[in-house]
Amino acid sequence: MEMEVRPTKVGVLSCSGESEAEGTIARNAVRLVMEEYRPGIVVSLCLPLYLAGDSGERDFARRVPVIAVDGCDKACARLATDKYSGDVESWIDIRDLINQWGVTEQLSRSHPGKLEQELTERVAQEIVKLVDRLVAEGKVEVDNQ
Amino acid sequence: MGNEKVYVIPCSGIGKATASVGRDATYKVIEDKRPETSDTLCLSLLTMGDEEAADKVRKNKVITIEGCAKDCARKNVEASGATPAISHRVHDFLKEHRDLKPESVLDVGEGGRQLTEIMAEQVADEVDDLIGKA
Amino acid sequence: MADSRSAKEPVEIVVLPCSGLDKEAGSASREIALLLSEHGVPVVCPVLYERSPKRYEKELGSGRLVVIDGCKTGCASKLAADRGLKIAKRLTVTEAAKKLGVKAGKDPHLGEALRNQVPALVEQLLAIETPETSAPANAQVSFSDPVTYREFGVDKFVFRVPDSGYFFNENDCWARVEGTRARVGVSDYVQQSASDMIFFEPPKISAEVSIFDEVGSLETTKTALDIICPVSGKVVAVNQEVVEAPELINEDPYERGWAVEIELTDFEDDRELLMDPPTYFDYLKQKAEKEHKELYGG
Repeated sequence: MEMEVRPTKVGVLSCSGESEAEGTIARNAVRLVMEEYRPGIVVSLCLPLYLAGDSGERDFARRVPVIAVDGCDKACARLATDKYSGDVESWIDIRDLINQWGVTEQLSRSHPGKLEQELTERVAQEIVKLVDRLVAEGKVEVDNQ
Repeated sequence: MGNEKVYVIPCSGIGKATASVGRDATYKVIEDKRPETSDTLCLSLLTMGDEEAADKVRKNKVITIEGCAKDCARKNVEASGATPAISHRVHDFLKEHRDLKPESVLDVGEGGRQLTEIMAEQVADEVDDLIGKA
Repeated sequence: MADSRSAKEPVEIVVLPCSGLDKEAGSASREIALLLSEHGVPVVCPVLYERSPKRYEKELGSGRLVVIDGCKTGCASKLAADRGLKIAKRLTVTEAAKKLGVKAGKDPHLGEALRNQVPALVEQLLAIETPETSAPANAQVSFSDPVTYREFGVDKFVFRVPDSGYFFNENDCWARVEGTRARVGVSDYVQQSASDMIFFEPPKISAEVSIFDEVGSLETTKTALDIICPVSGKVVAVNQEVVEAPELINEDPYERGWAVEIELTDFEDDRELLMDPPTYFDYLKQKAEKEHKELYGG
């Protein structure tokens, strides 16, 4: 009898763009999810390694569902996943999200203050929702504790 | 001269505290120490072959700062048809300042902040040198 | 400890300096090279070498290559790398001068302060000749046979284990045995888990070691660890390349990243306590999966 082997991890790829505040938010939000909210389920992928590294990142991204987290609509993380390892499962455009939330203040890329930290936390929660949905849909197998 | 800038490009690494040091050092250079003569751009744009980003690295001098020995920033710059004038690895600075290990990706800690300042100071001098050669 | 040398006494190094004309460090690079030539060291002109690489074939084959970069732009190093040359030692004048309390200036003329440090910098380069840290030239063993690998993956990490010719202990250190000698290092699993190597503290040459003794220590950006020796014997060589660039262990943990060479005393006895590659592969696979689960949950 054939058994479907489901992945046990979700790959999250952040753009980490340096020149935009939203790139910093993307990077920090993904780290928060990985370290605090969903450790053991989420594996962060390193975008520059897609081009510069060996095939480890790309091969892994082919085997697991991937959530792309981009700072802006240039969508580097989403396009990199499409190009190098297949369709993304879900995509977050942080700039678009922040606009939807009605934030109009200028954000800092280098000195995240209270507002940037709050936004990072909110983005992290959006990522968590997407991860949890994948688990609920059975696309990722997680050991029951 | 005039509008020429040196592009300081860190590696965008998300997995290592040393990558955070590189990123912070870049910001110190382009925002605090040499805002008139330096800038950065998103490395992921080079990974994706963005022509505007590639044009900037081809037409200006570039300093790359790597969070590890995989040298992603340098390789992505080279893949865009440019060659960094200078390539740094955070580890090389760590070797000379063994007591300044960064603590974590999200918070490099006091040691990491000091290391960031040391790197930024050197890179700022290098920006001056490179602009002087333009 | 550098041997004292008289002028014109031949030494087994060859030097490639940079030819920087735009700052003091470039002039110092030239001055160091000229002083080395008075010690009989062949000097490779970088400009001529760039145009006619064959011109220096004989010199480059005659000794270990020392590169002098004026500054961190590293032009001489890049030229050597482009030509596929192996660099035994590299001196960056600005960095070395800083350690001696002198700052190289922007004026291209060589000033007195830096000029006075040139003899000390020359001595540093001549000290490379100390034979203790190199494998003796008449070593009857060769570790140059190509190595093939098996791999397994845990999440996005891929771990490699050589197919044959290596022996492992449970501390994930390996020994590659050729004749009466073994080279010792740490496994791919160690270099990936411990992260980027920044220091290697080698053991003393001639130190006697027993199996499971510590034979050198490593420091990474995350942790510090000892190399636990898989064999017994006497330390006869240390990989100077790894001392100067510990990241070699990350790049090539099983071949160029070897740490120490040991003259074996009783390998047949030691062997009974070690794992051959297939056994280590299975052991490591279980260990990596278990540790990963413990570390990251799930």
